[in-house]
Amino acid sequence: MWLQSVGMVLVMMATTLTGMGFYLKEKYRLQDLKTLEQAVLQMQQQIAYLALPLPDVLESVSFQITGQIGCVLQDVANKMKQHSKETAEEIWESVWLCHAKKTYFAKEDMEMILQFGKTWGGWDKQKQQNNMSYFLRELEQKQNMVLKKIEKNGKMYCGMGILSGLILIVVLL
Amino acid sequence: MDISIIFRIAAVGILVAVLNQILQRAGREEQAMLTTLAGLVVVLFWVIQYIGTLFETMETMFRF
Repeated sequence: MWLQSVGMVLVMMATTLTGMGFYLKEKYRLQDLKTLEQAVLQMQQQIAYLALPLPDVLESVSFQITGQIGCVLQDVANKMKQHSKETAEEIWESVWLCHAKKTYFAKEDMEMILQFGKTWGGWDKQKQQNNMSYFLRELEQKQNMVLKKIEKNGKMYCGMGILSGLILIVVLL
Repeated sequence: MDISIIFRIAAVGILVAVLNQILQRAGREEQAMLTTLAGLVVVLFWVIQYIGTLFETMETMFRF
């Protein structure tokens, strides 16, 4: 009897945590998008008011941004300072692809981020600013979309986790 | 026939109904229908052996 109880508890925990995992994945994705928005906003301000070169801007912003995104920006800044034969676009793409699995970004978020990097190098200050403004608007739209998804599906994921656990217990008993 | 089968069928029915409602409200009607069908298949799977026994008993009765 106690073995059955332990089994029931394990099944319930597994299914409930799976449901919560789906919910938290979307929540952390939203957090990552907000952090990236803050980083790009700071980059835009530093380029506009301090007129620093891109590697210095990225390094400065990476010290202020916590988490995986800060690490990505630090890596990009370090690679740019090495003055290798790679272009800014190639460095941005290679570093982000390397760190993609450590973030909670979805495939469409990564495509958007890589597209942002394609416009670096060879543009003047005003075009960089316009590009960053456009990227910030895209990030805002994405955040609104993810927030609506969380509001719509958040309770569903948690509820389904618990209920599927209960169904499994009833079927297996 | 063990009476616990009735309680199990009732539990599956309630859980499937709640899951159905949650999925419909989330806009996933197809998954809701699939969940209902899955619950129905599970309950039929439990009940089919009793239906088989019932038909055998009726056949035996009519042979006398």
